Amino acid sequence: MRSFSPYLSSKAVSTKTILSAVGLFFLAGLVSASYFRSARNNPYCVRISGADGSSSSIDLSVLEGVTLINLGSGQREQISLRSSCNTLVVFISPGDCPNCLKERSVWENLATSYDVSRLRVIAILVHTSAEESKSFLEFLNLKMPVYYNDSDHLNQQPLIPKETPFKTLIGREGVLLAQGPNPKANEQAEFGNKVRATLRNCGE
Amino acid sequence: MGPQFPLITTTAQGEGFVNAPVTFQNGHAVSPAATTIFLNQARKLSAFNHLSRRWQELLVMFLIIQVVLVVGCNSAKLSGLQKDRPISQSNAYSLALQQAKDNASSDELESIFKGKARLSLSGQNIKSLSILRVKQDSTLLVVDNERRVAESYGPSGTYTGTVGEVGNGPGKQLWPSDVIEVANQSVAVSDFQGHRVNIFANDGQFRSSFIYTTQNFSAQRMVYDAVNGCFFLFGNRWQTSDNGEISGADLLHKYDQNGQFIASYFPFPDKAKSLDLYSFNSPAMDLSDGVLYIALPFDYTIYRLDKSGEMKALFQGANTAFKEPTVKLETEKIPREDAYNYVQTWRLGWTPILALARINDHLVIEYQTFDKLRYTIDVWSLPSGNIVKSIKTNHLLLTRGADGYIYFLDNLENRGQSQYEILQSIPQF
Repeated sequence: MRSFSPYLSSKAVSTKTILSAVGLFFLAGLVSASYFRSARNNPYCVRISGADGSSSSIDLSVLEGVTLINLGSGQREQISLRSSCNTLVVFISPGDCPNCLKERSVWENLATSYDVSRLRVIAILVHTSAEESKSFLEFLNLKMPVYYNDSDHLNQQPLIPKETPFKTLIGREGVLLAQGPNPKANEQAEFGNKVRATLRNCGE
Repeated sequence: MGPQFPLITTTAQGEGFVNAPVTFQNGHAVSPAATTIFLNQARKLSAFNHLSRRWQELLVMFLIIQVVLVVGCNSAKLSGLQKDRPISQSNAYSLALQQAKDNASSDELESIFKGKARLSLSGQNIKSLSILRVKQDSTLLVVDNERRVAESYGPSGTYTGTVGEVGNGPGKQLWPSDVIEVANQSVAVSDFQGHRVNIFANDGQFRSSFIYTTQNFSAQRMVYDAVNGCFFLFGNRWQTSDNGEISGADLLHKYDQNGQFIASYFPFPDKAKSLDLYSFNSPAMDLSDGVLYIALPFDYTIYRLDKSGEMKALFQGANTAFKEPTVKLETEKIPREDAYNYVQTWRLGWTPILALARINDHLVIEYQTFDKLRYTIDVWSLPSGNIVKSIKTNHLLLTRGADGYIYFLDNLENRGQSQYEILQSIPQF
């Protein structure tokens, strides 16, 4: 009977096996590094840090061509991020958006200050139903197109931010600016100024 | 009792290392698989290979001792930190509970409520029984504030299901705050964080929802007026100033049965603003024959909101055992793990009003006094406007059931119990 000895097991693990394990380890590192690199290089990808310390990334390029209901007209419309030089997309979860009522004036100011060819401001309601959206909009009466997301396509994407309002300014080449809720009045005004300063011309 | 601070359980770091056993035989280290492989692979490294076998073993033993020492130091440091925590805060509350327990034989509850049955809630591990409501068919509806879930239990106390899903959206709740029976035996759940009321049919199927975001509050309590077909939601939590600070405004909000907002009532009292009591305003409420009765925990004034929307003070508890708070709770300085006991100790300095029920021609008010027993119950006569009876008890009035019975908690605490016992009783007045 063989007694337990560390020397016996040393023969069981060959140099080849060790080298293979090391190779696999480096390969896994290489794959994950390239994944993160590609995510970082995607101009429509935004990394979000949650208040709970969590971190996630969303790819806003999936918005291009998606069909949503325009709550103003009741018609389905295809979203195009290239119809204007700059598009400010505001995600709103009507039930869970303590700052939406306060920040709305900033978005409305932006929406009415520019021609839609220069800046288009739209709101997308998420985590809600058609009935809830209707009553929310009746109360808010936002001066910008508001879309209701009943699209399965959009719900399946890791797109919807955890905390709303989530604002993102998208130019023709990708995301220019992104920000989560701004609870304080000065932060809200500052965001409006940032958007104005970041706007791109169509040729840029 | 409204949502409290979440409690954090501290776990010792490095437990995984402590569990790696090392034994010695005839002066040689005989280590478990992980260490063995490490030793064997290390032998293949040239620098390691040049050392004699004795030195190799000594090196490995040295590494193991280092790991054990580091883990040991960490554990000692942690236990030292735990010892340094202030325990006087928890002691005052524990002593008050112990005193109430010791005096349990002098409980006077049976002088005004006759016990009918004792129900044990079973089938789920309830951590904090924050809300109990009872439907007309005696189904028990429970909100567990710590597990953040609304559940239903059969008339005998056996768990039958969860009301709604966890999540953000119609039919889902992030943090249920109240659960009530509404029209057609349906059940409504208010979501404190999702700012939504979900309505489920008797079989648990999601029916409809409405959001109350636009009134700027988070619902702590909810009642349904079956006579007039409307909801009353109570809450103020995120009515904030431009600087993001809580300012408080109207506390009571009325909606029709489709969720259309009707009106807000009941401004947050000015005198409570100086003590920053915004987080401790969970009301005692009851609704009977279309009339709402409400009291705030820090003010022994019973208000009455009638069908026309007129709100007025009905009674004031001038000659009672009630004592209002005089000291502000400084929550910022408290370690999170001590928050619960700290708040409970702060509440010993006054007598928070916890429950209110309209029973026949009487109003029953319960508040925490820790005067030998935990609570005091005052019974007010509605026609005369006088207190007709005042008793001491260890039983918390949970609800006036839609089945006609009055339900009390048979445990001394509503949190951390291995078994929750509910006393079903019949009023004797």
